[in-house]
Amino acid sequence: MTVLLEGRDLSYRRNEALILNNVSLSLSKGDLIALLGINGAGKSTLLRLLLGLLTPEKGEVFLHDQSLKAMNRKAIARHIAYVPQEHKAVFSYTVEEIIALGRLPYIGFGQNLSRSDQDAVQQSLEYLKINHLKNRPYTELSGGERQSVLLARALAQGAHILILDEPETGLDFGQQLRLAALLQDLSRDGYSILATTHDPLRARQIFSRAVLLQQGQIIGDGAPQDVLTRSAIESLYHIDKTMTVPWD
Amino acid sequence: MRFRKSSFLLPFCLGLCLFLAVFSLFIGRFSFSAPELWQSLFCFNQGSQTNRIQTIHSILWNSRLPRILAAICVGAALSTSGAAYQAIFRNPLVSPGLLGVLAGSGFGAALSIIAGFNPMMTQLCSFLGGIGAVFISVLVQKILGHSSVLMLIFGGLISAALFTALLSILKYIADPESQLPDIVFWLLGSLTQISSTQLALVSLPVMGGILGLSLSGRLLDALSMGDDEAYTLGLSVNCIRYTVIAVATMLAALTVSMAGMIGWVGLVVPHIARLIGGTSNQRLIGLSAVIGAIFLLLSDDLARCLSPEEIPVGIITDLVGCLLFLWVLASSRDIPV
Repeated sequence: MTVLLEGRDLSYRRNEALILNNVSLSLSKGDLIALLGINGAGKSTLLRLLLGLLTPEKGEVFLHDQSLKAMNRKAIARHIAYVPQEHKAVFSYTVEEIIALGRLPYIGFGQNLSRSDQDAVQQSLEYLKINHLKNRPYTELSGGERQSVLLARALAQGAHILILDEPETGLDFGQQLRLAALLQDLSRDGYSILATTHDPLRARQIFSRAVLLQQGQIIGDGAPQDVLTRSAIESLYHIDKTMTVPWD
Repeated sequence: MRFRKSSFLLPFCLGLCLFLAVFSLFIGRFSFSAPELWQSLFCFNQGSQTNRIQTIHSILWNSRLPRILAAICVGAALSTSGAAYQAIFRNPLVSPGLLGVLAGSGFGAALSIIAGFNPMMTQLCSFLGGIGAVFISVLVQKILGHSSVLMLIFGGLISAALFTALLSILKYIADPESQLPDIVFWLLGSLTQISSTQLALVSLPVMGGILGLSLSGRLLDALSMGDDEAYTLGLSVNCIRYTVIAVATMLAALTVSMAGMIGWVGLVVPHIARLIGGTSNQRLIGLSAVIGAIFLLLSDDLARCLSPEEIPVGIITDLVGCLLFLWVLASSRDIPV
């Protein structure tokens, strides 16, 4: 399958500490990848390198076989969209205004949204089934609704690679189930998704691939049922042999 | 919601601003009628007019009209600058003085007064002082090797404190008979000494700055989402941030160089614009400019007619600004609690 986004031999150091050490990861069309590891394992750093927000000390990121370094921000934004863990809203933008920002990579300085931009915003509102929220202030939404808005903005961006940082944070059980179904739908529709998660059980149920990160290195990459074994979980999360793992 | 997004809101405010500008022509110790105003403005013929019409003509062209246009210019510039600062620093409590521009401008003007320079040079020194203070803020951020917004704010705190201290030294050493009253009057903010030449010099860059920031509304919206999100939405964050800071600083420094320290406009007016026009900077910047012009026109009218002796307009904006900010705090969704 064609590789869309690839990080090759990535290393990253912060204040002399090696955060990532020779990590390689690729995303192909329709991939639904869970990135797992304890806090401080380097998950967010890896996401930020793949998004071009950080520059690796060694290695390189390629988007459609082109180095990210050689691409401008707008070109990257047309291919890769980012859904942050939490958007700390300062101003009470409406949902529609936030989603419309997804069209920024397509419009020039001082230009208004074209008809096709407006259509893209409307389609993403409908895809996420949040049309009824479009005039509501983002600051007044629940955690699940906010997550939907950020996903809708990513879809409006027209990018087919979605990178999500702990999307389940702050969601109740129902919202987590709805998010899981949505990610599966997006994957079936051809989107490539990479998401960090702290929930191996969810990773086994929903994702098509799991990548395990420990102390800045990948210790497992493959089908969740094959990778997320009892021994891998014990090693990854430092849990006792006497503790019960949900799928035991 | 419908009114907030209405395309009539901006034209309505522009109409109100125009009405107030005409109304303000009548405000002052020398009163005249509407036909006399018309005759003085549009049917004036030197030599064939009565003394009264000639006096009205002189008052209008040399005093009231430049003053009214200056109020519009300064109010619009300060409000636009404040709205832009609030967006890029992601903080609704920020005003144009955040990076020290007001303190720097005050210092520059006081230095010029003590050096005995003419009013034109005082304007120039004030402008350069403001730009210099913001330059120091950015320099502090760069010297400390951080590119974060927080470090820039710390740089601004240091720069503002430095120039406030320097200004205090100048006030301390100023001649209490001749120089100190000039410095104090200048720092209080006033539109009394605006000339047509000054106005002509300042209005073009002010209009250019306001237009540039208005066209950047969508970029400001993205910047107010935070750096990571703005980057991944395709923005060159640092380039846009420093350009906006440069333009907003130029606007604020120009207003201080023309009219002294006029407080609260840059903080309160963007909030009023947000309340009536919505949060998006695509509408907010333009609307802030017009509401800022209205606010300063009204404040200047009050300054001219509240007492027999004219009150510096900076005092009026401080008093009215406090009350308006109370109202904003009670009504706004955008104030962190």
